[in-house]
Amino acid sequence: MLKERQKYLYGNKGVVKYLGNICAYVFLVICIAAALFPAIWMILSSVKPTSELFVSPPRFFTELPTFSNFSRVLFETSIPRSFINSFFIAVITTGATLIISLLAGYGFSRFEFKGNKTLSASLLFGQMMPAIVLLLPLYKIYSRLNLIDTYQVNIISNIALNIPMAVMTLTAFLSGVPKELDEAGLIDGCNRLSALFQILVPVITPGIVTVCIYTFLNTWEEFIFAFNFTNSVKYKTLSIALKEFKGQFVIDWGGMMSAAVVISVPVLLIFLLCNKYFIKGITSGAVKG
Amino acid sequence: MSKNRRRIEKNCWGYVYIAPALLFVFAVMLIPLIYTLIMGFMKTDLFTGKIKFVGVKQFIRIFGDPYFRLAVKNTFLWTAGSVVFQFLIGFIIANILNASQVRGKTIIRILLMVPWVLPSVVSAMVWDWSYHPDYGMINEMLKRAGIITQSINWTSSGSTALISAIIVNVWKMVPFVALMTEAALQGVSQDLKEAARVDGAKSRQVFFHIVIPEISSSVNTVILLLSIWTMNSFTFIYLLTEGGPAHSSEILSLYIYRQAFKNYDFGTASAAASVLFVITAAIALMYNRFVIRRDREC
Repeated sequence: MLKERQKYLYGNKGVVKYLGNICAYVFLVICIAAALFPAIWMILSSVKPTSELFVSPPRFFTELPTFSNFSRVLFETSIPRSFINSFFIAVITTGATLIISLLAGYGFSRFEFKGNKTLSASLLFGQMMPAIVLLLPLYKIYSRLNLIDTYQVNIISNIALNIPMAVMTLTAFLSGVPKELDEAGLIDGCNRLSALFQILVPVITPGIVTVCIYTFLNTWEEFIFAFNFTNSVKYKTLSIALKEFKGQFVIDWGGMMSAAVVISVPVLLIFLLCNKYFIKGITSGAVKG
Repeated sequence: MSKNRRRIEKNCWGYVYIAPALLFVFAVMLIPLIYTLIMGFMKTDLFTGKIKFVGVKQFIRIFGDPYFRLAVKNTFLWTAGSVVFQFLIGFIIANILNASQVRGKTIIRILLMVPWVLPSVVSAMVWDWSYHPDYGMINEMLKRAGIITQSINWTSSGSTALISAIIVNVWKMVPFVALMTEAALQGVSQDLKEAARVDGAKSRQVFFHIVIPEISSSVNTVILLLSIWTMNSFTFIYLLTEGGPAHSSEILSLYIYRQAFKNYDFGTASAAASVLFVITAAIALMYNRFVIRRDREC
């Protein structure tokens, strides 16, 4: 019955539709191949022995897979230390951003005050602020405050970079919750903070997960600020450590590809476990370029 | 009276809740921004550290600098080239996913999203390795397909440096466009489409007269966001070509970086940064208008 209706609606253009479908499939397959190729090439290169990395023409697969690149990266470079640094910075940043943005989202969605609309709209511009415009003055401010080459410098910068998108997302989620819900809690005698954290937070869990994932990953891959504000092994993040495989004269491609795999594994794990939140984040605007 | 007092109390509390967020944004974004805009008119003496007002002299100087003009041209090419292809490919994917009866859409979406998820630094390095003239896979695949006979020096030749960065940028952002557009397409009312078909509209007419107007505000938002992000992006070009060879892939953000951190010419860097900011703000204001219009329509 449905098929007949569709046939009536769309007409009988079987052949054209069939050809169109084939084109669509071919296009999709090419796009998927292109999307996955660099990740596959990275993994394949990371297990190649050095002698096989540098053959021309290059071969796709190796007959002698080896983990020597990985053991070099794990035991002879600063990658493990940087991994800990990045993880530490990303966790602190995520926690702090979440709390600050929850409070701000609560303020924007539950109170009417002068400049509410203007301030929340101006956050939009924060989300689009070019990092390069801020780089030089921030460098001067941070050096004046003796913050260059510390954990704090990365944590502060990343919190500020992520706050606009986090506040916008959480405000949108909180506005979707009826005010009666937390007002009932207030009447029952809880204070505003416990109304926020005990009544509202459980209701907007999807928004919170989305914000946490994006904040964590944005911090994990942040490059330009970390690159200019830190330089010692003690505080270096993974992005910078990876960049340093590209030396002035010699490039350790095998090591670099193994390090790239090490950096990508946590990201891909989070992505596979929570992919619906990634899509939610994109469609609800919780992203920054 | 008591009602009035309560309103005032409410007012104050709102500010208290948003204060920490505003503090961070002011300290790390607004103050540095204002500093940059002021320093565009100031000259810093490198040796004594003295700052003096020089008016628009530095702006006149950068517009006379051939490298600055090249950077503006490159920024335009980079933004236009990236956004056009990001959008076209993403838009086609979204329409295929939305219209056809492809099986396993969830897994296709996950696979397509990998470029968006991989950290930018990782992507840049892996692409750099793939672009390698002797050992890279891209030249090899193009040779096997019979498209080229001689290896291309992708990132280190003036004619292809910017293109190779554009390819990486397109690759990274297509999933974003595809998902945003697909979400917009799913929002188009099925009844409206069917009604048009019953009235005898061809599928092309349905697409151009019903689907396109329905999704246009989300599509505009996507394009403006892409333009702003691409115009100000730094990581891909810096890691792939460092703006070289011979400034052939130097966009404004890399020009500013070179002036500030290689030449220590803070005045020029600030003047160029102000120009970049003004262009960005103009696009952002357009974006704001579109968003407000979309919100009003909803």
